[in-house]
Amino acid sequence: MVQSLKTDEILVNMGPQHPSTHGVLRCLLKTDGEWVREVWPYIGYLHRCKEKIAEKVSYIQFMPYTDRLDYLASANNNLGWAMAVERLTSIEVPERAVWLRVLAAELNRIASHLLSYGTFGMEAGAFTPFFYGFRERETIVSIFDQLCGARLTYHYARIGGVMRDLSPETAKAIRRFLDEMDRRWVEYNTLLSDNEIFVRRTANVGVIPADLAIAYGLTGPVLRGSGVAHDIRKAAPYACYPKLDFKVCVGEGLKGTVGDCWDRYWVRMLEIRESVKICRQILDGLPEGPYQAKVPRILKVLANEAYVRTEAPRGELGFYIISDGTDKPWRCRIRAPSFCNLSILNRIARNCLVADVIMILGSIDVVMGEVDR
Amino acid sequence: MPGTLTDIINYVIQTALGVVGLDYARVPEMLRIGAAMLIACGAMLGYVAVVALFFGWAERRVAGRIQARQGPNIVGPFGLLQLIADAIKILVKEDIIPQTAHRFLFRLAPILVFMGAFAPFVVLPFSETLVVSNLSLGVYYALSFAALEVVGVIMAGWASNNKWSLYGGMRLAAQMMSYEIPMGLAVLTVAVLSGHLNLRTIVLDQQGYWIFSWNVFRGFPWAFLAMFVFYLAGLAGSKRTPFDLPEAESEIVAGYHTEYSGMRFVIFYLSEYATMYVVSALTAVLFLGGWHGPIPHVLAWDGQVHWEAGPVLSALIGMVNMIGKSFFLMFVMLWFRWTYPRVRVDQIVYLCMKVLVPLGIICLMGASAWALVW
Amino acid sequence: MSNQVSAFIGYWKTAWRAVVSSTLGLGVTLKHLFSRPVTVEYPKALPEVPEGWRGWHAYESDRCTMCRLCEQVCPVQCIRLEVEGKGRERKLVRYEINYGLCLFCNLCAEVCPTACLWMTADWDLACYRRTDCTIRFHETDPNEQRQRLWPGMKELPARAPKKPREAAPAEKAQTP
Repeated sequence: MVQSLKTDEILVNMGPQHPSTHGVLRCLLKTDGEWVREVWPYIGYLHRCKEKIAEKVSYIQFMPYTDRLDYLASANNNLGWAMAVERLTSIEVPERAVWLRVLAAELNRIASHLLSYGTFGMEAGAFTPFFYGFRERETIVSIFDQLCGARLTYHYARIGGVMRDLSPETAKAIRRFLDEMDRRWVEYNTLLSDNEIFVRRTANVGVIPADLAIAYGLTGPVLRGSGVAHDIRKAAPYACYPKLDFKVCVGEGLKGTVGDCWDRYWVRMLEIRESVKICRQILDGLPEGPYQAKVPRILKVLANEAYVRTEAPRGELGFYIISDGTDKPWRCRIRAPSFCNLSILNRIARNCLVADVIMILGSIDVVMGEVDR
Repeated sequence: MPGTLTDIINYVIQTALGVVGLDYARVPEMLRIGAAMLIACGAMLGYVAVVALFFGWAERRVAGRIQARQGPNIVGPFGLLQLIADAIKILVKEDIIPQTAHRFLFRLAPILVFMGAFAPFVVLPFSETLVVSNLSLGVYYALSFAALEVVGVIMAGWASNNKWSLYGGMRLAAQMMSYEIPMGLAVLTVAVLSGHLNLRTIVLDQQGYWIFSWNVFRGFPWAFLAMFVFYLAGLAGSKRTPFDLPEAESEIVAGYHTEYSGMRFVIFYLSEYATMYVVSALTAVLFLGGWHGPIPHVLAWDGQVHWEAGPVLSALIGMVNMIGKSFFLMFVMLWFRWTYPRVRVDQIVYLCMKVLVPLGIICLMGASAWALVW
Repeated sequence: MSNQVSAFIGYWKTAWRAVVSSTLGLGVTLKHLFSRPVTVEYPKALPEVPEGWRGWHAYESDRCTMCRLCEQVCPVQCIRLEVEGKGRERKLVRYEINYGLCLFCNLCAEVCPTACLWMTADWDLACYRRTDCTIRFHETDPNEQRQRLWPGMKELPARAPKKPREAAPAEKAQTP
């Protein structure tokens, strides 16, 4: 009966100026009433030639630019770039610096996931989680204030170390925050995760089966939400992660199918808790020593190449550098997790409702600064 | 004792004219009724504006405090004058009509929407005497005019010539049409229980025995359930979270009023609060005893409980009770909005057809059985 | 048949979950309604900025050796330095930082051998015109310039004049 009704498909332009396309993503929807038949994401509105810039500035100078890739996780990007350059130049990083970098990265992971929690709630139509998420994120940002003097573009890690040592007051502030985070985490779940409306909105929506997720090269919470326990921190341990005790959170389909929007969201929530655990361990086991290695002012490296992958909040962040013996990279390729994760949008956002497209996009949690680079 | 607000106004005019020596009785009756109605409606319009302004402030303030923010607190005490400042700002804004919009319908839509939101105020009783028009079919008058809003919203969505606006309009149409049914069923439950459709009589019926004479407890459990059905359906009818799909910001930008700005936008804004008030007030009238307070009007010296007071005092107390109840229910709407996510378009229909309608039917059947037994 | 039964049970389970979870959610927001806001009213209460904030630069021309390291290390070339003369006769004629370009990365401060350039906790950097973004450190005290750029702007709370650091932290770590 429904099929006999003559309906028309229309093309709707969602974005680049749309409240929930995470910045400037443009999606073209082919809709039939409320049904979305197909979605095409168009990217490039935030392209800033980061990879080309890397060829024009020195290794040290590119570090602040990495802040601006995934601007919600600067510390993780710094870590990746620093590690890549250090592998290229074989600089030995002091142990304390390694731990401090990981501390910054894990704090930043919490901040990033909190923001994701907030925006995901907002996309579901609940405004309040956004503010709660931002409230706790603000505490992290204040901690970064003390740690490195900036609130968004941290530029904390340096080649061969970190910018500044961790002061006892900052360590105390971090501990206070971690304790508060444990309390708030329960509150978040009461407000949003367990809310039946929210569960109904996200469970069984945008299901990514594990094989599809692997086939599309998804990483991070999007992959783990599909039940694949793949985390670079465990799979290819780097920095001080082998010494830390944490577990890889995977989606288990608690509210619906494995790999639905709720699972991806829940993996992020669980990762907040894991990161809190990691931060505690780092504060307890922070080794003493210098926080900066001796690095020449003009860093000349031999002609070589290096690829380093790290687990950023959004997935596998890879820096591939080819050097030609000068102080500048000959070519730098950045494997941005959001970019790869976004590629699945067209595949899973088919024959769903307009509201589902928003939820799927929110659960993939792209940052356009990273997608376009 | 005068029957309704119009009678009171007529009485006041008559007395005033009598003082200057004019006989009001010689003025044609149509004119007299017309004048009284006009004045009463003017008063109501003022009231709507005040309610909308107050709740515009309250919404932002409540949202602020719930979200660990301050909310408006600079302009005036507690920021109460913020909305006046906003109103002035918005009134002097340029009135923009998109080039491709249908100009006539674009202009007509806000008026229709506001008409639908405002018309039910005419039958809302504030106390035994303070009601503009004592219609014997008051409930259905209110519900049917509330349905007029759909026309305006679809018109706005269509005339804007914007795909998102069209989505908003269509969503509202689907939503409101379906939610009329549970709303009507809930109202019928009360009608069966009290045997009236006149709002004033329904409230008069609920007099006495503290709160236990209110319909919500008198018709327990049917009216109790029906109240939730009515309130939820009303929530959907007034496009509030969790049913705010027609203006879902994160999905369809701003829904049907995406293209509206300035004064025309304010009219949509105003009518949203007006509809919220109508739903709250109707819930209070139908289920929560209307102007009857939870305590007797007068506890006389003889130890007896009196539910009657003098006409003026009882009107005042009734007004306070009625407005208090409505405002509390409106606050609950604000509270909902800042707590819940939004439901999806298929879920909203699911909720209506598979939850509220069966529940409404059960309530109606139960109440009918109640009415037959007693 | 059993399908229908399980669907029926599922319906009521969902309804129950919906009622319970919604009520709990309302509890969370109600608790916040009566707790204190965490925000500060910005113009009245200024945010507390810790030491070591990467804000406006401070520059001491007396200690500057005009080595141009800051100019070279800057990723965006926002520092402009002009020197006249040769050898001991060298004189600084221009030291500008264009804050429209600056990344606030702190690289210039770290690289400075005499610590004559460092970043202060001055965070209010907005200005009205694009040309005002360029601060001429060779001319006047930067804070005075700020007041000039912000006519009618309230004085920022006085901060204790910061002693120039002995050496930038990165340098210090390298020396031992």
